[in-house]
Amino acid sequence: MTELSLQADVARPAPWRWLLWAALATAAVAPWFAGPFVQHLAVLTCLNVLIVNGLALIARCGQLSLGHAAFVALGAYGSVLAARLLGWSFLPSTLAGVVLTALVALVLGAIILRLKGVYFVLVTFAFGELVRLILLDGSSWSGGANGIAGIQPAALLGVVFDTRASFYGLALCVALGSVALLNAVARRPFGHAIDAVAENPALAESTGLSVRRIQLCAFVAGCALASVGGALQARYVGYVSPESFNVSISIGFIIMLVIGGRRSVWGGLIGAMVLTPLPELFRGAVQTQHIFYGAALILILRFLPAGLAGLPGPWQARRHKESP
Amino acid sequence: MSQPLLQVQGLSRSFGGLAALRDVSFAVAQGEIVGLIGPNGAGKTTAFNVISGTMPPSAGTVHFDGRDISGGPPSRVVVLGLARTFQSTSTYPEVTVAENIRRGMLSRVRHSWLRRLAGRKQDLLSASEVTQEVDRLLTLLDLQPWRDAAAGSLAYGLQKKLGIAVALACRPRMLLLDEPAAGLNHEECNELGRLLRRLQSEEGLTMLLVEHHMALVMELSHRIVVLVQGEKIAEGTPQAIRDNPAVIEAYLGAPDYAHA
Repeated sequence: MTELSLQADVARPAPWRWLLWAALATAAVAPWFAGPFVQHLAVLTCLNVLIVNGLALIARCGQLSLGHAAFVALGAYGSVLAARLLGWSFLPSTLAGVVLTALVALVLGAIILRLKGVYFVLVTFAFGELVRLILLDGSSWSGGANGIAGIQPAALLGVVFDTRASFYGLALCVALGSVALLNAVARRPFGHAIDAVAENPALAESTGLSVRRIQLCAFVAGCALASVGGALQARYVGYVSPESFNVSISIGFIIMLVIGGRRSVWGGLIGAMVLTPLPELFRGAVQTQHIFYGAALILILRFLPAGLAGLPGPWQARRHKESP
Repeated sequence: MSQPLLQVQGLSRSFGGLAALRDVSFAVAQGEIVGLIGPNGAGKTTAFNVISGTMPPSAGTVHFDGRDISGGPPSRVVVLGLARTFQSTSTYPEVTVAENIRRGMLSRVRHSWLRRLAGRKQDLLSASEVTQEVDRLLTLLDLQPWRDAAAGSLAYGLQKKLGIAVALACRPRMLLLDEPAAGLNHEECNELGRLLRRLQSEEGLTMLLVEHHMALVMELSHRIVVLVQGEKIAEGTPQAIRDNPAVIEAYLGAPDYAHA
């Protein structure tokens, strides 16, 4: 009963698949043989994959969060403060950040998920600003605008991830884990229920699917993924400040998702892989960077409403080919 | 008569100062088709929404199979065995007809560890059972030729039929039909009548039918409940309703007015 849509995979053309997997594997391994700058970009890409996949889960049930960076911030600050104030090591402090974020998402989601469309977008935007302002204001515990510096690097089972190359290994595992999770969810009845809720909530409710509960589950899970990204980012950079989580960061996640493909389980991966390195290419001319962003977004919305994942090929959105 | 499947007791619902339903009571027995009729604004849709759990009643109760279902939520009401269809077409337009029906069965296939803890494992369907059930429903509703077509591309009549199929996918014991004949042509309407009768006789499905199409209601229903301005003014067999002076007055106006 978990394999309702397995047939869709079998129908894919095999050569495409192998080519795609080979390209992905090459891209994943390449940073270890490249310079520190490429490794740095690769780490950021992995973290963005994780965070945007969280946003994809929320977007999949029909809600757009404009406060996603706030949940990244909760994960980052939660884990850093757990380590700093309670002296917890990497794994328990990260878990503390995730649990804190999930609880906040649960309470917030229970209140605001009944809002639809633009109202939900506005409230999540306001929540994002609220979190940022609280972090700015609480200088006694959050360091205010100065943030918190000198965060210990991640360490797991005696391995310290204090180099770019080693941290990239950790980030890659977590990012791939989130892609696998999204794929697994999409295949399971819960994933189908999410799609049903997104497409016609009234019908979904009248066929026994609790719209509220399904949206809440997806929202909490999506925010929890974001918080893992935040906790890892804090460990990697060694520094957190409220301005790393402002609304333009949230918008950046949405752009990655839209350009990658809102409806595909590969959207977050593709979007983060394409857009994370891009600004770096335009470092010399900041203006060009923003013009490029805008132009790319307009072009993609106009010609590829399903994002890069909507291009013909093996990675095409799964949900349109579900009949056996 | 043993305990009725659906028992509506003293149901009232007001919107601000407007009483859309006032103290309405009726019952539907297992295997029965009951028609709910009334002129525009009589409160039929309100009654429908309250019974299906979409909105809570202001007063009164709805019992289904002995359980109080007043106030919903609809997803719980459906799981207990009371499914509904929508007045306008309501499908998942982007996916295929077969996938629409499969989604209708989700509440029965969903892995839920909570349910497992509660020992309700037997409710869950396997993948092959899902496929079988989809095929059975497609055949039952003559939708097989459109199996792989996107639901949104179907003609209006077919979409309405698909709506019934999706509701049946929840395997309800009782079906609430909100104007199933609205927008159908004469031929489609006859076909719908045959289908509903077959569902009642072959599947033992109990039905509450809210409908404007008098011929269809009179032909199908065992009993009819008439609402006028939120109140029940009559209840009885189609013949009795046809001859009831209060019903004739509600639909055609009082003889006095005709003379005026």
